[in-house]
Order: sequence, then C-alpha cells, then structure tokens
Amino acid sequence: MSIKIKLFANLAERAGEDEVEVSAEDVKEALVKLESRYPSLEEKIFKSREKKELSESITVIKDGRNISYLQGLETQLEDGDKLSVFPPVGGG
Amino acid sequence: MGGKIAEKILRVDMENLEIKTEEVPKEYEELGGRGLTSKIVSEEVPPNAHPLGPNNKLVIAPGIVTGTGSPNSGRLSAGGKSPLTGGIKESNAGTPFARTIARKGIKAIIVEGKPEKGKYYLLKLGKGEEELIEADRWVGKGLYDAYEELHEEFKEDIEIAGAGIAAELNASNAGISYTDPEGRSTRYSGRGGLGAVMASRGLKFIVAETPDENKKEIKDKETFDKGRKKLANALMEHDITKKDGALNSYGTSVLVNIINESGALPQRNFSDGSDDRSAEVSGERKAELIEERGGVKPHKCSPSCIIQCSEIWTKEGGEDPVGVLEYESVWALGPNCGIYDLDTIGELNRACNDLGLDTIEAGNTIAVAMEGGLLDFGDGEKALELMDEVYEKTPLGRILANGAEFTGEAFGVNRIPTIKGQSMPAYDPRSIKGIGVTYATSPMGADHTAGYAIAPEILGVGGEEDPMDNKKADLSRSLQQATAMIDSAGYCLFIAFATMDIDEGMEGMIETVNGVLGTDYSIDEVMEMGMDILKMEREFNEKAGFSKEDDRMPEFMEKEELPPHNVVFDVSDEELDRVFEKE
Repeated sequence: MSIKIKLFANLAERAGEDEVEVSAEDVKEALVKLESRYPSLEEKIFKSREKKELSESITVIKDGRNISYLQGLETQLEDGDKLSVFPPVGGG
Repeated sequence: MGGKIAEKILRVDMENLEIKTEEVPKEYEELGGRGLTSKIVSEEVPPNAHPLGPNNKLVIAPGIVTGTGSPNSGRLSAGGKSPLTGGIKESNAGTPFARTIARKGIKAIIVEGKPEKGKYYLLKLGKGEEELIEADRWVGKGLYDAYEELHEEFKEDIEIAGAGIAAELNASNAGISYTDPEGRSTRYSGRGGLGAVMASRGLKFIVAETPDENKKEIKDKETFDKGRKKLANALMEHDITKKDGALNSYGTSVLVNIINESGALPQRNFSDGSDDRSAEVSGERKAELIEERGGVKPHKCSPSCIIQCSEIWTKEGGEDPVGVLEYESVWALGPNCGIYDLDTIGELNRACNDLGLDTIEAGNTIAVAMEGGLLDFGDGEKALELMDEVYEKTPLGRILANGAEFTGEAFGVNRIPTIKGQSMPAYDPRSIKGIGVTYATSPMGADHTAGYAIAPEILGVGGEEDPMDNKKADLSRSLQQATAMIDSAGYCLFIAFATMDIDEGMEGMIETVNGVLGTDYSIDEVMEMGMDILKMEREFNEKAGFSKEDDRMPEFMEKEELPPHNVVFDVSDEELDRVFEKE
C-alpha cells in the first residue's frame, strides 16, 4: 500500500523532510522503512534497533486517532492512508 | 520567625486614596498565588457584589516560591469577582513584575473602593515608599506606548501592571497587562475581565521599582536548595521542557499540528476539528519565519525560566516587535476565525496587547461575530478594523470588548462556545472529552489550564488516556487539584510536563514549597490543599448563584457532530457532577 508519512517538529528537522511516501502493509513496516531511509531517525522511532517496539516518546496518528487506540504497530494500512508522526510536544 | 523582614499586605483604598500596610494574618502565612487570592476574595468580596461595583476587590499575589530564583517560578495570580463569568476568578501570569513584588516582601496587594468618577491613578511601589499618583494623561493610550513612556518617566528599573483602553470601557474581556523582560505589554492575566475590575477601582497602573534588598524569605534553605536542584534536573531532562526540546525550539504553537491531526483544532467557530491550512500557522512555520526575518527565539517570559518557550514575533524585516504568539492566541485569532496567516494573526495579537484584551476571548468574539454576519470568516483585514472600534470606544467596540457571549447574543448567534460566560480555548471538547470535563466543571469557566487533560489524552504525559473515552471525572478532578497547587506555588504550569513524568521532579517541587514555608507537607497533603482551594471557589460561585446547571456544555456541542470524527460531547451529567460530588 502506498501511504504518506508526515513528520513534525524535531523529527522533521532531523530527517530534513516533512513528508515521505512509503509502501507498507502496516504501521510497523511503514516506520521501519522510514527509519532505514533516514538514518538520522534511528533510535528515535523505536525503543531499540533489535526490538521494534514504538518508543514512548513517539506519537503516531492515523485518521485522527493515536494508533495506541487502534491496533498499535499492527494497524493495517490502505492506499492513500496518512500517518502523522510526532516527537514529544507540549504547550498550553 | 525572626531573621528576615516579614512579608506584608498592601491594602490600597481607592476611595480615600490611602495605602495601608498590614501584617499577614496567621491563616494566610502558608498561602500564595491562587490559594491566597481566592481566600481573600472569598473572605472579603460578597458573592453577590456587582463585579464593577464598590464591593468587588482586585487582589494580586505572587506565588509561594516566586522571587526565590527557583526555576520557572516567575508567576503571580490576580483575583476578584469576574465581570465575564460572574463567579470567582484567578488569572495567572508569568512576568518579571511577579518577582519584583515578591522581592519587595509583598504578599498581596488588595485594591478596594472607588475614587471620584472618571479619575484614574497609578500606584507607585517605590524603593522606600508607596504612593498614588494621578494617571489621567494615559487614558485612551495604547499600552505599548504607555509602557515606553512610563519607562522614560520613572528612571529606575521598573516593572508595570496595567489596565488598557478595554478596561477603561469596563469591558468584560479586559485583562491585566504586565511587562515582559523587554518592558513591553505582552504578559497577561488575560481571562475573566480583571482589567475591568482594576479600572473600575480607578487604578490604571502599578509601577514597581526593583528593590535594592531581596526581602523574599526562605525558611529552610537546605530543603529548598535540594528541591530546586531536583526540579531543575527534571526540567533539563524531560523531552518537552529541555533545551532544544519542543517548547524551546517551537514554542507553544508546536501544538497546532498535533491537535489539528487529532481532529480537535476548532475551525471557524468550532464548526470543524481540522483544516490542512492550519500547518501554515504552526509552531514549526513560525520558527522558520523568525529564523528568516528576525525576531527572537528562544525567549523567556520571566527571569527564572529555564524552558524558554516564548519568542518575539515581528513584522517582516524584523521590525515592530509584537511579543510572543502563543498557541492559544494563534488559534483563537487564526483558524477559529478562518485566518491562516501569521502576519495577520500577529497584528491582531498586537492590537489585543495594546488594548488590554485577552486573546482567547477576543478571537472567539471575532469568530462569533463572523458567524453572526458582521464580517466573513477569513477576513483578517476587517477583523483588524474591528479592533479600531475598541480603540475609538464606539458602541460596537464596547460590544466586542465584552466578549464572545455578549457579542453572540447581540448578533443572534446560537452557537456560542462558552461555559459560565467564558469562551473555550483551543481544543474542541467533542474530540477530547477530558478537557471538556475540565471546561465544564472548573470554577473558572471554560479554562484549559485549570485541569490540562490534554497532557495524558493527546501528549502522552502523565499516562495515556483515550480522548474519546467519556469517563473522565477522576482525571479532571486530579488535574484540577494539582493545578490549583501549582497556581498557588508560583510555578509555570509547564513544569508539570516534567513533574508528571519524573518523580524526583515532583519531589523537588514540593521540597521547594516546604523550603520556603518551613513546612513538611507530603504530596498527598498538598493535593488536599488543592482540593480545599477548589471547594472554596465553588462555594463562592454557589453563593453567587451558580448551580450544577452551569457545569454543562453549550447545547450545540451535545447535538452537532464535529468533523472529522463526527462526534458530539457525550459525557453524561452524572459524570460531570462526579468531579466534585464527594467534596
């Protein structure tokens, strides 16, 4: 499935890009491909190189919903889907 | 006791133009900030007083740790009966003015009584003495110019609190302005119309000269220093608050994108929860433009701040500084009005700062006026012209300066996003239920800082809560308690990002409070004090005529589905009442 990943704040700065297209069946695959395309994001997205568990510092939103409330990294993707990936952000 | 000079309360009698110094009563000794302003208002203001009448009072109090130099401790509270809500109000601000009055040993300033009609005064808090000086020559002047003139006139290093043109109108959306570190009118006790309370007591400015001697007392320096280090470490460690973290790099407007992507950034008077154009006014975009054109980033609102989330926005070419464009201001004057241009938003914000208007309420007012047909959504030029109506004190200007509900009613709008008369901030409660529970139940009216459920519901701070889950009474209650305490301590609420996730940071914060007071309170005891403050505020509101029917959403939010999630606010009345039911 061809999907878009939008990056924000320090992640976009790190990658030097704020929008990326990848081909993936689920969120995990999409993020693995993102990480391999942008080595500067290594160890930012997942907890470790070996364990592909989402870092607690990262928020991934699909269709306006945090993937924690969908199927997490196993959330399935369709053509044209969009993932928004955030580092820790805050404000008031 | 003994050692340093004890703190004092200044009671400013505007009828007789006298300033009295009072000892701090024993029961106030451990209070500060919101805990103190709400206590004094509860004890001294009759709940049925007219907010602009002779029986209301304005109370200004620095926080418990303000003036100590603890990180992020530069805050004060202003309190009184609100002309906007008709209930008790505490309005918090970060400004060097807070430190200055704390270091002068001032526990609270109570302004009461009214002078001869039409007269205005300046309260000078000099190095040695206090006096009231006639201030009529500043009537009708914008605050940017007024503050410049005051700096020239008072040759000493000064900080200022001021009531602007909107306050001269006794308008319900008049805030109290304070100096920022550059001496400009950009820091605010914005919400609730306390500027009108100040001006209707005939007080235009408070000018405080920096003292030669620091009279802020710390009773247990060892505990304080231990706590201060722990808190500083937590702030420097946490990803949100640290140097080059989100706040330091992009400011509070870094929230625009995540709230928009979550489908909860209110567009065009709360008619949609997202719009692709929102990215044009995001923190990332603003940081980019500041880099290109000039301005300052990062920047701090007060001397002790180590987060430095603020900035100085300017026109193109780095000219004509405005000050910070906070997330709330950007949203209210931007997407909620269908405006997606930072330069227009900057000029609207400048007008608010100059007139002494709260930006959240002003933005909501313009949006409601747009819905009412006074101007089109997205018409930034006309929105700026409407600000001129306030400058010129026209009848339309008076309507607009009275806030969103008053304006909406004048223009026959039935979609008015207010609770207890105060308009909602930058999160649609239909898509984020917990913040909605805070909006509905806080004694302050629709207020996001009062119990910032956004932290766990969207940002993953202090846990993770599904924003669509409608069981949020316990979350809102516990956040409201904690916030009441932080508001009393004098700390910036943003320390909570660190203290909610890093236990040592929380310990450190409590230790600094215990250090200043010479006490030994546990976190549970401190949370109970937070609840005591809320109970006191609710009691005032009840006597002022509020009931649980005022802890409810506007009708349209229960009926009208908000895109893109197509949801309504479906938290039950029982759940809303559960927030304070046991107390």
